[in-house]
Amino acid sequence: MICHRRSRARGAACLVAVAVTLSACTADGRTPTGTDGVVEVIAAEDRQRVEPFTGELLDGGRFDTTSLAGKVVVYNVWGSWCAPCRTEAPVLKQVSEETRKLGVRFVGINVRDNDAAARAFEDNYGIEYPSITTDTSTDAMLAFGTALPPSAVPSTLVVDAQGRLAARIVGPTGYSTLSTIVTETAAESDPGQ
Amino acid sequence: MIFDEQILARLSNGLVYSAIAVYALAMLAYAAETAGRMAGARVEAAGVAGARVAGTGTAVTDAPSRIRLLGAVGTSLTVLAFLLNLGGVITRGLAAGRVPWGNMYEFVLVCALAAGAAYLAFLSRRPVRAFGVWIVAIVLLALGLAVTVLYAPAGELVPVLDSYWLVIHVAAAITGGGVFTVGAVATALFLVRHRQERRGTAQAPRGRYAASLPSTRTLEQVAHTAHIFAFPIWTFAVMAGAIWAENAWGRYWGWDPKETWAFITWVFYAAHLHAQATAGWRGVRASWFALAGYAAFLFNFFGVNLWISGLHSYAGV
Amino acid sequence: MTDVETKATEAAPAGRAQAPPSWGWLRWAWRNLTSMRTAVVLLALLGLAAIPGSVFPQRNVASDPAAVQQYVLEHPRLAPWLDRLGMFDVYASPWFAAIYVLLLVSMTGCVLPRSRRLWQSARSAPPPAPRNLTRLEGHHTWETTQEPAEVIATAAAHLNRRRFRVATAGHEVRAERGYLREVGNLAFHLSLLVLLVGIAAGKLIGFEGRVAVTEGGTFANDLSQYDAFSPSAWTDVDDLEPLSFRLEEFDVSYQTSGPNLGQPSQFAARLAYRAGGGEEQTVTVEPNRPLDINETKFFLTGNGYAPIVTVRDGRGKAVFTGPVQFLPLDTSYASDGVIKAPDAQPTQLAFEGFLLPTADVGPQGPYSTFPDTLNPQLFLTAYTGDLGFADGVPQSVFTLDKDELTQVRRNGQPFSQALSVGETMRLPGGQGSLTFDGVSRFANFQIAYDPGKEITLVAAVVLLVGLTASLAIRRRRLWLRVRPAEGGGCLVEVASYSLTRRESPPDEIQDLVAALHGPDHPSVTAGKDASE
Repeated sequence: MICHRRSRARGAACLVAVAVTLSACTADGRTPTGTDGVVEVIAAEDRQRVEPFTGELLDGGRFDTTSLAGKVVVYNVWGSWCAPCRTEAPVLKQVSEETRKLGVRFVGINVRDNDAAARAFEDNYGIEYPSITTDTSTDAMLAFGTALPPSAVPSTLVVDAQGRLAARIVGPTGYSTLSTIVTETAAESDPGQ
Repeated sequence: MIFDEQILARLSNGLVYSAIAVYALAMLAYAAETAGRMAGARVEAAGVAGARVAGTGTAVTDAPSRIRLLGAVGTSLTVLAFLLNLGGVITRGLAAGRVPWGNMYEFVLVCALAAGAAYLAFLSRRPVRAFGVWIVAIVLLALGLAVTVLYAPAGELVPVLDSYWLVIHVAAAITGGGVFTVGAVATALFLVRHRQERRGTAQAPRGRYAASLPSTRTLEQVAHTAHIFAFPIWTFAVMAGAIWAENAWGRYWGWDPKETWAFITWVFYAAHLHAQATAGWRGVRASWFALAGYAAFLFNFFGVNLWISGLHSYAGV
Repeated sequence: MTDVETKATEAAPAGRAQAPPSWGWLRWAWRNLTSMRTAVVLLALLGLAAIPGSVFPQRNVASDPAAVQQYVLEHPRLAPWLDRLGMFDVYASPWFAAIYVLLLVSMTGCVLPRSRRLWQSARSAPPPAPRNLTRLEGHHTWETTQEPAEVIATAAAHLNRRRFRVATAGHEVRAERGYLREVGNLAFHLSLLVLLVGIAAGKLIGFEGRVAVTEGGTFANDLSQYDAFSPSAWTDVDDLEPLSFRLEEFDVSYQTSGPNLGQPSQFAARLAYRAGGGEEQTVTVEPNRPLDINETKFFLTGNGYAPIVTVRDGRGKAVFTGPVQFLPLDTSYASDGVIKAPDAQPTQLAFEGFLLPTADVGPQGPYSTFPDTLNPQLFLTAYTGDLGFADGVPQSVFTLDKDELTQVRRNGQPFSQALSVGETMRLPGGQGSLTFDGVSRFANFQIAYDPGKEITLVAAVVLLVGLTASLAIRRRRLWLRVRPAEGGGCLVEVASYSLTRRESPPDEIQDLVAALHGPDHPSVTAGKDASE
């Protein structure tokens, strides 16, 4: 256990540079280093539970992780102000539609944004899956802390059917990366399909 | 209540201006005394080098009574000016309803007070009246700058200064600065006197002035006492500042220009104290480190506030 | 090392000719490195080396993070050279490190042998008196009718009471006092090393960050939520303290009268926070009063205005509703900023301009007369086109990339408008509109985690106590010698020797003399005169 956490910490250390640059786009515009996120896939036996959380949704209504119990859930941390979020938005849309039949659900976590701008973004990119509003996003942001926190905007977190963190992508994700991870995570919980 | 505060603020200004006037008179008296002693020194130098043998300020006691009287008048005026300065500081504090060192103007007022106090304290146990003219000149210059360039009306503190660490940190810095001033004057005069003793000339006007000073041994001892007294106080001021910085900004040391120059001051004085214990460096060479330390202190005080922007800028003009 | 005269390291490096050459060199180098002279030179160098850091802007200095970039823009020729020399990172540069590492080695090499010598001298008796006492400080001599043994016993008892270490040998009393000076000196130098350990711990594990939160806005302690974050070498950014807060309200008051009109008199940020999944609590964070959650501290270090606007696009759809942080430019809080609506249709919209909290118009144009929002006005110009988001390159929320943008014009002039709260600016041609809904405030928080602090503080306290002891305490020796006189009684001689620059306290000798004669014996004063 401790050993695992150590190795993860070392892996995380090399993320710092990328993560800082990406999160820096909130205020201190700096030259970007690239658009490929840093991917970490966690073996099933090393996974840690994600704390349950709730939040309000951009299109009204309330989100509760318990309502998605037993499903693979992909959380995407994003903001309309964040340029890399725009490059990955079509990828997320496509993978969410392709994996829906596998029982996978996508949930956005909108951060440091305003609801009108966030809704306009979703309209523009045709995002159908729900998103938690900025104002109620703090619980969601901290829920992954015991496993691996998001640590950048955008980042994508894949939670397996047992509610454990299976993968983290810090930075924008490409299609094949996300599609592979999500499909494999969905397959392991339902080997019959 | 507001009425009272305004009266106090005006009273404070009046007292500070009076202090300046009286310090100016004190400087005149001291200058006249110095001139008289120089004349005395020439007489002695013409005979046997009396001042050198005597060790501790014999030149003063041997001088004619009129010169001694001038010196006494200078000291009395200095005491009076010091009391006026003290009154100005106290009324300023009462007017503002807080410790009177919340901005540059007040800081200079209190630092002038500390330098005056340090001088008078030394004068009560050492023959350092020859310092008087220089100390008074420095204090006068500081007060003059304070009322012309740095003046700020009495008022509340800006929120970031509203901390008891202001009382502790700044009071320590001021005390250290005041005593360092005496140390710097003693060191500078030591260098002047040392040169004269080396060359053995008391003829040129500069040499005559140097010959009228207390012996190098006395000057060095006074400088040393001042430095070893002020150095721990300065160390404490830097530490208290670091604790305050931790409390206000989340880091105890951030190489802000003010911090940097406090560090440079500390390091130069540390070099001085070490040089004083190094064979071959004791005396003249070590003295230059002390003067460098004092220069760094002065720069931190004026240069950093006026020319370099940093987190301490709120304390500015 | 500070102000101590008993220096063995000053001995001239001679008489080692038989040693093998390589050893000799090493020994020579070590002796030079640990000599006081080297320490003085290194100290002076350290002071000089620190100067450029106050002259040139520094990276990772909190007061102005953008200062280096600004300097590079202003000095395109000079800046790269300065950068190569480490002038923008003086305190982390190799040459600065070289100086203090050498200094520490020099200091340690000097202090450790001294510790050993102190230990030895503390266990051995005070040294014998020099043959000739007359040349020492406060030398007194007198004849007495007392027997030698009696004199020695009285003197030893007296000195013992005065907390001297006393040894008697034959006709001599040897006494020494002030060992604490050396102890203090060593404590001072060794605590400097510990101090550096504490600093290093913070530099290796801790971090510093910044975030600006608007009233009503939230913060979760995740790396993604920081505006700026400076980790250390071993910071575990995935293991930040789990806590979140909402800025309920930011209270500011300014002096509305008197000579310091407009000077702030209070800043207070009221936070509702949750730590470690616990219950929500409220706390007020003010300057000098940080929020401290398990050593992660939140300091209120600044504030500004965030005008609240609604942007509608060409379709009349709200594409932006909320506060936008503007950066204050001066003490009257004239602030500038940009508003971006990348999802506006049919064209993206952007606005640029400034906010005046208390707007007035002078001969130089509009300006702010007071930092509070007595008459807030928003002065904006508008742009359409491409904000440059599509390429996925992160951009600053405070600047516009105008490469693909066109300024909106009316009658050939740039279209601009001054808005009071409630007013709307409509772009020509129905491209969109912006409504100024009100003004909110934002608070700037500095967030710091520095786990080495306690070590540093303890070391600093020891350092100060040690330094004070090493400067204030005078180490001195005192000797008394008796010579039996013919026909009974004896000749007594006393003198003291200061091991520091300052003389021994003169009354110590006087008291001893008095103790041996009775306080009113005339020879006490006579002896003093004779010695001068």
